[in-house]
Amino acid sequence: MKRLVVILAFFAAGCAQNLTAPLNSVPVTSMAEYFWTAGTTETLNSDIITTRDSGGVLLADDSNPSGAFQTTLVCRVSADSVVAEGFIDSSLIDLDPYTYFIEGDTNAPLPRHPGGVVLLRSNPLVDSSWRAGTIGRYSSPNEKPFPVEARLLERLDTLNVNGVSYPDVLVIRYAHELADFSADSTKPYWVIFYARGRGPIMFDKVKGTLFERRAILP
Amino acid sequence: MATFEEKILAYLDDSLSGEEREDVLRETQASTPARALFDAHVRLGSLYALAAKPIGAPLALQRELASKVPVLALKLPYLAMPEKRRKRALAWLWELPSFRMNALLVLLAALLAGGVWFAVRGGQSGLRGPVSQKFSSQPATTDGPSVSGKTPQNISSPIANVARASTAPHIAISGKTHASDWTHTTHSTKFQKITLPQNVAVKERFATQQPTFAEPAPPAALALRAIEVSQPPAMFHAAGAIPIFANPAQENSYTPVRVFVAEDIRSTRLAPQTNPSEVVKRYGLWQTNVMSEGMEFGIDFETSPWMAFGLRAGDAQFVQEQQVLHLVTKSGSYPHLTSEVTETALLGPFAPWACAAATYTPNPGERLQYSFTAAAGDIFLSGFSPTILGEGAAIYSFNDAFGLRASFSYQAAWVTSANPIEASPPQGNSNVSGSSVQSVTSKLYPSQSLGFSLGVTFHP
Repeated sequence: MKRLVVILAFFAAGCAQNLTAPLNSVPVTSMAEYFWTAGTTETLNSDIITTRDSGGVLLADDSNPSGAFQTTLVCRVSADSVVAEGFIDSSLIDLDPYTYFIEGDTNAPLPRHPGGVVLLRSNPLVDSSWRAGTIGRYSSPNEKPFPVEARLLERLDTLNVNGVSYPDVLVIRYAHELADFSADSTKPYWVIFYARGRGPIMFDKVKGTLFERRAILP
Repeated sequence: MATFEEKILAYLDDSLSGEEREDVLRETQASTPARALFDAHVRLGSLYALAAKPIGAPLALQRELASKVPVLALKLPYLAMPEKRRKRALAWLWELPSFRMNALLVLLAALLAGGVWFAVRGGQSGLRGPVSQKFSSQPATTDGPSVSGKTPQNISSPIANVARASTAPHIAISGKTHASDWTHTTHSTKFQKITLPQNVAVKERFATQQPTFAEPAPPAALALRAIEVSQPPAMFHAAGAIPIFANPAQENSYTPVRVFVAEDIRSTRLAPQTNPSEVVKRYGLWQTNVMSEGMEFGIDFETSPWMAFGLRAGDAQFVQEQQVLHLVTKSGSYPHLTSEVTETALLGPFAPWACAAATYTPNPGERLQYSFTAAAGDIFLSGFSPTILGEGAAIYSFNDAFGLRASFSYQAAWVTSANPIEASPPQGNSNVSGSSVQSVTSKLYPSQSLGFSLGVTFHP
């Protein structure tokens, strides 16, 4: 009788066949695989990205061919996270004029200082989020800074951009979120697509009805 | 020193040597009473020979004889006592290939049926009485001679008594097997004999009162010297005896086929995708357990009372995977991204199935039989979908032909996936589109079911 019970228990526990695990459930081992490495040059519409290493810090020069615009992104890339500083108006993360990622939270006293944004965090799950940074003006007492949440919207098996397929793409939104976790439509938000082994391949900016996309050129 | 009548009986049985036979004939010719006695026996012999028919011996009687004469059980394994046969069956089970699924199947079937077996049987073992009791109700013959009060009116009581009274001083038992002859004789003043030539029939002979030489008694009053009675084998089968045929013609009259039909209730566990989309939810099963009802049919050909081979078929609900491809216009609730999502829906189609089956019955001929079946076959559903079946059944016989059948079953199936479907039209001229696979569709989806069935059996 004891053996019968054991066998029936074994049956009850093990007879249901699980479906094969999709890519979504495969853990991400290193976030560095989803970001640029030193010596990379990418063209995203009118922006040209050139990266270089500087004492363990990745510097990414964001410019356009006319030379009218240039900024340098300072990126700290590790297996656990990717943090970048230096985004400005018209850069890949196209901030509104006179707004920046600032140091500290929304109650940071004046004058405020430049801060960074946590672009990637280790092993994210779909629909999970983390505090990416704070956006505000450096010295405006009237406009209160707002927080930016990063949220993994999707993990795509492939993303086709202009006929080119990129495997294993993370789709992450950076937005000021409302209580229901939707994006605040009164403020801009950004969606960045990170391809494994390639880095960021597409940058979207949405503000109300305005939509701007910078995609990697084949 | 044998009496003259015993010599006559031995003469008629062809058990005398040539010289002894001549002595009997010589004595018969020399004496009128001896000749009368001899003629009376000859007449009786011819008279009863007209009514003599072979008989299928009850299994219980055969086993009792085999318990006293071990060579019978060696030559005819089914005559071994139930404990020995069970040991042999267990050995057969343990010699099965030990891959996991088969072992689980066999153990499950054996333990399930074993629990029922012990519950119903109450731990008793050994031969069962009703066999001979039922047998005793059979008339010996309708056209046989009338007999006196001491002569048996039927064959059951004398046979059973003789067979069980192993210490009775007047019994001589002889038999013949394929390999050797055997004889067991005790102190014999009277002469009774049970003969099992090739285990085909039982002959019973009784010597009664000694007739007077001067006035031979009429046959019925003189002695019931030999009775050979037969019953149709099928009747003995229903009564619990194993049919053993006297000749090929009789063998042809027995149909070793049994069929059944049953209503089967099955429980199948499944593990669907944990986060199905609204689109794919329309296509499949999303609970973790499916209960279904179906029909099961079976037909078996008995190669022996214990083993039968045949077919199992039915209509049952199985679990089948299907790849569903659909377009999500707001992938991740982001309105500027469309993606094709591949998901796997679990369908629950009903489909016919058929298996070749082997059935072992440890207690054939009893009113409540148990059987264990292993079967393998195919599910007729989009390509080759193998399935295996293990079943433990209990059959209660109402009469010769019909019985009530209950069974527990375990069925494993590997069902070929259904053709993929596109739940929404493919994307248009978008330059950017994503695709993701929420769950991967395998070629064969394994599922396992536990079932209980209730039905009727028919044994023509």
